[in-house]
Amino acid sequence: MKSLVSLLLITLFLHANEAQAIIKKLEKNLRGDYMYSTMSMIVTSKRGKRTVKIESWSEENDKSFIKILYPKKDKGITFLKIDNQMWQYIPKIERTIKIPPSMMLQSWMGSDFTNDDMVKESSLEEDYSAKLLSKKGDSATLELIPKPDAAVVWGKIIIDVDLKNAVPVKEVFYDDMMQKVRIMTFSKIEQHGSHRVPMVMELKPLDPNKKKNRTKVIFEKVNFDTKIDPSYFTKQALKRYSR
Amino acid sequence: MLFSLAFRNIVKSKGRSITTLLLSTFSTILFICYVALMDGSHHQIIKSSVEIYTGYAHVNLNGYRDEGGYDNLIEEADRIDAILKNDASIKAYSPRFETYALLSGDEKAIGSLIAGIIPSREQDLSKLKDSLIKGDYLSDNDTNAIYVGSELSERLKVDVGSQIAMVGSSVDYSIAADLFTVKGIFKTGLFEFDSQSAFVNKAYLDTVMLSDNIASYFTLYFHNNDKIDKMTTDLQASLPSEYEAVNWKILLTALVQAMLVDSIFGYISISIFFLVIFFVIMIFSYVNIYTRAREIGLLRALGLTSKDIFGMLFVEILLLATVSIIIGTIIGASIAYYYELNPIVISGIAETYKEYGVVSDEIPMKFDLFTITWNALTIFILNLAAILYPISKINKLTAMEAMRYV
Amino acid sequence: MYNTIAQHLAWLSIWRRKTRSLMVIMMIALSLSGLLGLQGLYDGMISHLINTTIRSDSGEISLYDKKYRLNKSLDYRLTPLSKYEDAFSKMESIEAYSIRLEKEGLIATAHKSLGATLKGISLENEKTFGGLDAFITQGDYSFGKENKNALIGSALAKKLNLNIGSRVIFTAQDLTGEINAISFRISGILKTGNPSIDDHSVFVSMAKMSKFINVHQSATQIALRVKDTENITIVQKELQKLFPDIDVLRWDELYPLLIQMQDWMNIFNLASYAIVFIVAALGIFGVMLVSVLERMREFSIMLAIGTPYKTVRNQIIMEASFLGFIGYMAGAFLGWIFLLYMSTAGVDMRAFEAGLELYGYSAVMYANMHLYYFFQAFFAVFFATLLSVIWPLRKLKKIKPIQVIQGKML
Repeated sequence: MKSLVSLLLITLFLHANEAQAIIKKLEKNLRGDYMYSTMSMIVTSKRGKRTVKIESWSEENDKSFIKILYPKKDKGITFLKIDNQMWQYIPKIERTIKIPPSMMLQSWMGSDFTNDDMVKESSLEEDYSAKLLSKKGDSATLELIPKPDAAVVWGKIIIDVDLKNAVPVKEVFYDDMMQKVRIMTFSKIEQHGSHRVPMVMELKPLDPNKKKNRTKVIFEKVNFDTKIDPSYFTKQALKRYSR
Repeated sequence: MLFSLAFRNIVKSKGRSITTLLLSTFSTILFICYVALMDGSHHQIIKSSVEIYTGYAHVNLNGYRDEGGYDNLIEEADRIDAILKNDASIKAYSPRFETYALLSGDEKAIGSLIAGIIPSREQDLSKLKDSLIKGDYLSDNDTNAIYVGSELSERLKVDVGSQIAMVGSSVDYSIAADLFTVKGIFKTGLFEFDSQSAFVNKAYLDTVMLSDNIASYFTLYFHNNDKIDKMTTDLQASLPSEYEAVNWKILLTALVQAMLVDSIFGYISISIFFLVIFFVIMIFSYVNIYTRAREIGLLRALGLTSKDIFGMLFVEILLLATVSIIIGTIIGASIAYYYELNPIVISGIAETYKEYGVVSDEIPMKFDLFTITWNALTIFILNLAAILYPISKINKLTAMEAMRYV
Repeated sequence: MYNTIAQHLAWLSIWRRKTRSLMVIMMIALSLSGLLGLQGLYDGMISHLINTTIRSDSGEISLYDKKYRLNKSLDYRLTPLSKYEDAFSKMESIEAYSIRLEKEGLIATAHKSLGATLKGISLENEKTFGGLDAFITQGDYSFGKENKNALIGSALAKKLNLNIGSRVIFTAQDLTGEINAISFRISGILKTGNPSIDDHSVFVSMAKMSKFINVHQSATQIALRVKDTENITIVQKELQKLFPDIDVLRWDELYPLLIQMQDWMNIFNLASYAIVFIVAALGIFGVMLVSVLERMREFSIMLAIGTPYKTVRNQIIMEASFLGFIGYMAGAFLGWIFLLYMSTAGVDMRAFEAGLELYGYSAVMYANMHLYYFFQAFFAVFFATLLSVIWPLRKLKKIKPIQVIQGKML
């Protein structure tokens, strides 16, 4: 009897450990020490479809620099994120402003991502405890529950993982009452240097008022292996690299 | 004959007649003035809130008031404009485009309401121009001029002539940014409003926000704002089905309720006073009637029926009441009318009660014929009701008992 | 001996004309009970408002950094706490003190985010200070195990759709300007009637707050309860001398509106009583006058047989007094019932909740009941009766007994 219990516990422990390992591998794959990318973000809403082209540089999880390439009206606008703070530079008025906390949870550029999403990109490994729900061949489904002190709004996240490529296929976000709030899907896996990454991500909110909305991100160029000049992550960079 | 008897009785019982007359007249004047003052002050508070910016009625797309944002904007502003232009009941109207954006004087950014307005038309619809304290109000040709609330200008540390950067999002969600120069600073007295609002000429803001022919809502005044519910319903009928017309009663629900509660308490308070008046009139009538018990008994013996007696006594009070309320109404109405045009001023009251939305030191009375009429009628009926009990009692006596009354 | 006769006759005389007397009694009783009821209700509403503010917010005295109230920056805080706590422990009149550290920021769930204020407090402290625990409507008055959870205002909880156990995150800038975020679960919901709490506040432990905003041994506000209202100004002056660089303010200096409302109410009350009872005096007068006039003969006979004038005069005064007194007792009793009901069950004005809460009133109103209401009412009735008999007594004085008996003067 006792051995059965301990076997059960060990299995669970291993499972948890296995789940944690999967997540760790996932994050390691998706993020690098450095990442350079260009992407298109297509926002669909009641008003129609809008495309934004972005160039992005990031170091680890805490520093990133984003520049808007298209549309022409917004070209040259830059964003800098260091830890939990975000600044924005607008060439048209030659001004840098710091984005106050109240704007952080507003949607970023009208997409279904919030400023907070862009800025925090909270680490799944750091902020969540993972549990393996099922595993079949190369696919696994994990349940992520936020750690007690983690400052995240989600009640839980269910991830379908492609184990072979160490990439997520689908992420379902739940609120604190365990109602589904949004779904993120990943596709078009490609090899870039030492990483295999999904080149297409789509975010769909489940709010009945936002039925028509979705945000699609298509990566064009991705590079994990080149070191990025630290000068990109300074406030001076905002203006300097705007052109 | 009853009439002449009644008249003679009035003249004979000077004490009772004069008391009843004075009491009723005084009550009428008091009631009219009290209600006029109460209604006046409520009206003032609501008017302030409505006229400073909100407006008497709005036309917006269904769902705008719940959701806000850019999902429920009026995207054919010219069409609505045409409909409103042809509506004879509307005195003035104007479109507004409202959004929340970041304003910054230096690096620190503050979230605020930015609204695109048509300056010349807003003059008649809100107190923005009248609230100017420094610099100038906007004009229809302005481009980068911004008109800022006093508290907001302090928070941003800017003055007339300073430059403010605005960063927000255009209607298509692209980034809208521009530099504005502070043309004028306003102070409405509504603290919340002054610390979070700024205005720009809509024609120019449309180029930044890509909101040409787009409006968040139209604000409007009717010619007859007093009958606003009817006006609103009529207007609704002429709008396409996706649009709604709502008036201030819905836009400022909490305020309306608060005023209602205050009115209820006011009426309860004054009712106590009327209770006493009622009894005093009843007592005086009772005493008077019983003093004449013998005479009444005699009249009954002579052949007058109880109905006749009732009639006679009733006519007495009718005459007294009528005279009182006519005099009382004339005096009361005059006072109400005078103080409507020349409000009572209690200096300092606006400063103390500013959080409650009081912006002016003036407390006007409200002169309303309908209200005055029912006020007077109430006192009139009070008089008539007061006599019912005494009359019924005296009529219960037979002629003989009455004649022998001691 | 003559006085007991006067009393006896007075009593009998009143009841000779039952209806008349009853009308006067009803007039006094009904109007009195109405006045008492209203007075209690208004008084209750304002006391409640003042009490809530003192209990949940300012205490009798609050201490702030001089610049804090205009600009709520963490730079303007009171520090170190020990210097204040030492001073308080030496002052006997300070009954309790509450240390609070607060910062405005953003509270968010997966669906919505709102502006709110996070306040670091000590639960024990607030309980002794103002009985904050009594305001719990759901959940418990605790920060949970390890003091990690939070208490939230009811309106705020409603807007965010939160229940006990719900998780939220709070984002704000700390002392150095860095943006930090923390999460916690809700362990209790408070409804104080004070909109600044119910609509905007979240409470966490002082330890958690200090760590979050990187501020230690400091407070943004220290509120004090003072034993006995007479001591408030004395304590204030003492503290001002000890700490000249900060603001030491009484609740009425922080919220002058409350005192004003109280003053207005008192004036209104006094005026109501005055007006109502001057008019009531008229009613009593009417009855007394007629009562005297119709008994002229009777009084003349009494005087003729040798009854002292004083006795007859006293009889009349007593008649009026009896009417007044009975009216008073009936009114006071009825009023007492009203007040009893309204002070326990309260007056339910929830239909007007939105409007009332706009001004900080609670939707269910409770009346106060104080002994002085009844004393005030007693004096009002007393003066009304005295006033009413002046004229009838003058008529009495003019009596020439023989002539009246002979039928020559009436």
